[in-house]
Amino acid sequence: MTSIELRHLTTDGPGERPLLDDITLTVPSGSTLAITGPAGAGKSRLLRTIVGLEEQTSGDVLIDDIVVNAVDPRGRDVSMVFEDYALHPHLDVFDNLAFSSVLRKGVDKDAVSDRIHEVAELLALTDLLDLRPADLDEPQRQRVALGRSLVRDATVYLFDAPFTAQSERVRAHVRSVTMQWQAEASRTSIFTTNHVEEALSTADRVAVMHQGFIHQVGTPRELYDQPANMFVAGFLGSPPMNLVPAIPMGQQLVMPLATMLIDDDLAERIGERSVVVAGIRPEHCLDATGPGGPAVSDRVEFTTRIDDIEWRGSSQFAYLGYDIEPEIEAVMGEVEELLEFDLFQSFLVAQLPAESALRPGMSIRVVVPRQRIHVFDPETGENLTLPR
Amino acid sequence: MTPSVRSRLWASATSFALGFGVGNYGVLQVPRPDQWVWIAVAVVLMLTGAAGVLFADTSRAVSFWAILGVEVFAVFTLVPLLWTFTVATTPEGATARTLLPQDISWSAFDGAISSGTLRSAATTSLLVALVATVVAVALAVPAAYALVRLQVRARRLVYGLVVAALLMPVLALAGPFADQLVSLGAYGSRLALVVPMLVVTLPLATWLCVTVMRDVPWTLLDAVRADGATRPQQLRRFAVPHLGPGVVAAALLVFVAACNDFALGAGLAPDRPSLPLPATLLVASRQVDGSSAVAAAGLLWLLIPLIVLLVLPRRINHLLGRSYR
Repeated sequence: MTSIELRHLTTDGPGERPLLDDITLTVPSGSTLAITGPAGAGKSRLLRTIVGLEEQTSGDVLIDDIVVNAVDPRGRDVSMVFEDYALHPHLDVFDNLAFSSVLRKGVDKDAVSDRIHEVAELLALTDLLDLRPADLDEPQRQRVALGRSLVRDATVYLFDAPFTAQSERVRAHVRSVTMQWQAEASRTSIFTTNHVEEALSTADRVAVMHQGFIHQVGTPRELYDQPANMFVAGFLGSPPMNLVPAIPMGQQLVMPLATMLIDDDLAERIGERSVVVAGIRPEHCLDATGPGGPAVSDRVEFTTRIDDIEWRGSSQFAYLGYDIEPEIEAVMGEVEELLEFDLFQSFLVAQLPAESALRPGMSIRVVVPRQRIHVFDPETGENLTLPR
Repeated sequence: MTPSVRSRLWASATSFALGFGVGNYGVLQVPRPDQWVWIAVAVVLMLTGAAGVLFADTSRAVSFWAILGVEVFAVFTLVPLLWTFTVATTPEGATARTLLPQDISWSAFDGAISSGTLRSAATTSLLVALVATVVAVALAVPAAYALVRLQVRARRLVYGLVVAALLMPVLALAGPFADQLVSLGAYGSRLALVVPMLVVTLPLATWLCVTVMRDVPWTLLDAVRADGATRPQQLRRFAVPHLGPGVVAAALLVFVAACNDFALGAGLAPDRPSLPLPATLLVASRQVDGSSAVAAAGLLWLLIPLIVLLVLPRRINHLLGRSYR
């Protein structure tokens, strides 16, 4: 029912780098945005700025197309779930759930009570309504914090890492009931998570944030298939995309394990660069050992030795090691230092079907569809394979 | 033998030896009825020793050194109190010569309560302490908030100054304060004591309130604000439940400290009407009839901290750094 828009939102930090760096975002009414990024990316700061608990240095926050920079949290009427739950220790679960709803005058107490019971039912809190937060365990406390926000009627809902404490088993359920509840009332929500799969599976749109900067916003599919830059490519997906250094030589791109032909278009975009980075997703590495391999016509292939195998039931990961020249390694080290994030490894991960009987030490022939390989500029991180 | 068993046996031996020594000295040297006190202490110590031997090789989580320490501590605290009680209850004209009271007479307590001097001194003390506490807490709460919550420049320095002021010898300031009061013409007035008393109460209140503020769940305030609470609602829903008890406990402690101040009272008040109680008991004891009344008044004065401790024992332990929550 309410849209939210951020325009060039910037907050200066104590050091040189701003805490929030020129953030422009739009969350259409009734949609869900996930903000994902490593710890310390500025996700919580961004949410706190939207609620009005922190002030930005410059830029605007708009709720329903109205600039609310000067409006206090009460006036903005945004609901927020805090990462450390922020429960009232002296109130029982029922009163905690009711807290934000009864702060305003003229609330229909019966309606609130009905809603509390409904939400408690959804989040499996019904038996705990008379207990205090101290009597609950961590996941229960988090669900109370989540419930407090769901019970309330607000313009926008912000969730700061709302599912982290839930066990793997319950997590998906809590996530889906929360999102259903929000969708039924066509509420606008933003949640943060450092769990990549959670972001991709739960939200309508995903924003990848790091170092106070939004690297890319888009639907989960857009982000996964067409990452705008090397950070987005390396951060989304688990295991993450393999990023290997590649040296352009005429019509060829020489990578540590394989050589790839490049077309004129890509060659032109690579231009004079002496080193680029090639990105290959683990699930695009296909096992072509033996007869009857996958029929991929436009392919990059190579044969190498398997260093290690990680079997995980539904699939298995093969680790294929390689060596890089020291000069190139130094360049990559600098990039990592600049990004404060580990992107590069000295091995390639291939995600293979669980059935194939692979062993460490075996030789493997890997095939990668050529159009699945991304090429990035190592300095700017720009994705050179994206159509312009 | 494990180290803990050996340590327990040593504790037992020590307390048995102590008890044996105390018992022998009491029996041989101390006349009755105090002999019984000595024998009682000796029995307790020797029983501790015996229990220590019995429980030395068990897995119980007790420390016999700690028990021995508590016993010694109790003796050294309770014996002076018992002596004060004996002095207070000695009938008029008699002199207390034994530790155990012989002839209990409560008239000294009546005397202390009805004595005009002591009454006026107690009123002065309570009044001055009350005003100084209220002013100090009113200033200390915002100061502590700033020290804990805001990125104030030099806040470590300020906090250091607060602690330094806490350790300052107040007696050294009494002289200059007295000169000041004389030149202002306020020397001898009751309320003139309040301002110098702030030297005692303000740093103590700030120091205690900093501890209170550090324990407050501050994200809860953010949550309450994000939930859309107005200022009065923030006060009622957040400050009262989360700051209230801590501040009240701190205020009570400050009040007790102010009540017990002797140095400023003795230095700044020339005569009876404005002399606070602790100073009266020492300086003006000749104006009060007999040592019994002084002892009785002292015992009655002890009720104030006792009541405070009974009201909020947990909070006060926590504030004084003995957190066992």
